[in-house]
Amino acid sequence: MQKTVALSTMESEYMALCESSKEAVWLNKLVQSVASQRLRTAISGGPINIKVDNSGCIDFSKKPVEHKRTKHIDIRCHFMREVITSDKVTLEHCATDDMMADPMTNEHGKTKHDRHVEALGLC
Amino acid sequence: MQTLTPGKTPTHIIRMVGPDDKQDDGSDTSADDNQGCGGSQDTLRRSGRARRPPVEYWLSVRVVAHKAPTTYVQAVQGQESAKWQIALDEEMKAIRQNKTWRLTNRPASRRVLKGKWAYKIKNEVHKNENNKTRHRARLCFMGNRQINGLDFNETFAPAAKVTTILCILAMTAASGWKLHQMDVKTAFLNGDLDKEVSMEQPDGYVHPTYPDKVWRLFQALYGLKHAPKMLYAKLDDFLNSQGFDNIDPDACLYLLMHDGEIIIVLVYVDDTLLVASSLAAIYEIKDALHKRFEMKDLGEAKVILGLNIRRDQALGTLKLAEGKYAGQVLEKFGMAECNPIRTQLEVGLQLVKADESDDALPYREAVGSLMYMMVGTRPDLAFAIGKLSRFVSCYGKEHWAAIKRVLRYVKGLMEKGLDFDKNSSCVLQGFSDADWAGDHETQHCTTGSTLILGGATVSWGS
Repeated sequence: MQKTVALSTMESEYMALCESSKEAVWLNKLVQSVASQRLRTAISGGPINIKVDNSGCIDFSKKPVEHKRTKHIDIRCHFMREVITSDKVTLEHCATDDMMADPMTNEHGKTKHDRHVEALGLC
Repeated sequence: MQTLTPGKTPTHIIRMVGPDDKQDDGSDTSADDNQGCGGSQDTLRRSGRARRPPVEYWLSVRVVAHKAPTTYVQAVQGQESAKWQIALDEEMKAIRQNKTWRLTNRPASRRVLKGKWAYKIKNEVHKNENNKTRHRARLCFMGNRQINGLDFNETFAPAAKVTTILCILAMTAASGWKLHQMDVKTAFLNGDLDKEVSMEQPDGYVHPTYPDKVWRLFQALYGLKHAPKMLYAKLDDFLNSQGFDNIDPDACLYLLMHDGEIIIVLVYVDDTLLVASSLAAIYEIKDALHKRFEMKDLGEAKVILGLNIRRDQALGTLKLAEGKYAGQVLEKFGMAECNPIRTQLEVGLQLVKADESDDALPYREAVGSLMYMMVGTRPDLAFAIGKLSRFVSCYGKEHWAAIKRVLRYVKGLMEKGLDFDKNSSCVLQGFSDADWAGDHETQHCTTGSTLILGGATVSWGS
């Protein structure tokens, strides 16, 4: 659960993205350091791609324009902008149905839940 | 208030909520409806079935009995005293061999703390598939009495993160690397102490002529607050001398690149996972470890931290599951025979904090047990456990009902686990999502994130 109340879905996604990138940057560093030169073909280098299902959030991360709906967002969340400008993370939009982090935020019915379980690599 | 049979008429409901508890015969239109309502008619036909009070399922908690003794007196005077005596002697022999202590006079300026014997009955599977139990006694230093700054300065346990382990396993599956496991025997006895530590002579092994003298410890014992740090220092020194580099993101991950070969050592306190691109490299590092430490070679890795590893080299798959642990959890909470269900939480379930926790319910134990499972191999439980763990200090029956539903869900998917696949993409892919104001009490949002590598999630959070 997030620590502050979000005023819009964009804001809540932005805060979530900040948390995810923290983990992603760490893990990418770990994978990169293990993957040797020889294995780099199998395990690619470069930035880590994160998929988000909110285009407002992607646009705000890439092009920081402050206006009255975003001016209150805490500075700690703007970590996002740094990892994007330093090319550690790239963002991509995906439909909510393909969003694998969706089961971590909501409870779902049987059909959707089963699909998510499979997508997460559980079998 | 009287009990009502099912199929009650509206008149009954009105009577239920009415202030008058007494039977009001006049308002009833049918005699059948009157059954069980504190009979006013003697001719009423009643069922001959023996009546039982409703079973309060939420109280049916069976905690597995711990068979091992807890004190020295219990061990040496109980039924299995002979077996325990052998176990005690074995442990003492190991400690003597390690030159752990020397008998000295009681120091004037230092605190002398006590030791304690810990007993455990271990299940062991032998090569001929026979299950055998083994009695194990361990001498522990009572580290709970140690004071930070006075008796020790720094602590550190070399415990690799689960995400690190999963990542390495994903890469192992993808590259077809060899995966072996080793165990440091009496791990903590390997640490050299940098500070003077004194201990009372343990029960049963008090020197007959010098009962007043104390043990001056030279090597670490189990229970010492700084024992894991000493072990880590020793392991770190050894691995560095072998040319391994400590990988910056995780202090427990060591890497060696040699002639195009890759060797990875992953340390989890006394368990080590050895990963290498060839078997020769594995045997090389095993030999070196054997020379330096007393190690137990477990061969190909089968179980790490209670996670079962099943590997199919031909197909290039590696599956991690916790079926056995799931069974134990269900057994512990009396849910081994429950009916499975396909989702873990009711859709739209809103829980509120109870004013007072119902201490009779083992809610916290259940959340903890399931959380261990969630952290290891079950990202699908993350949201449910995340939600229910907010109530560990203020839970009631509705929270217990919710966690029981999660247990029923686990029952249906006991053998589910992460499945890493050679053919899946070996590029890290992140997913980030959030809901909006999902918690009706505080209006806070929930974050969800997963990172996928080699066909399955390696890191998740809710």
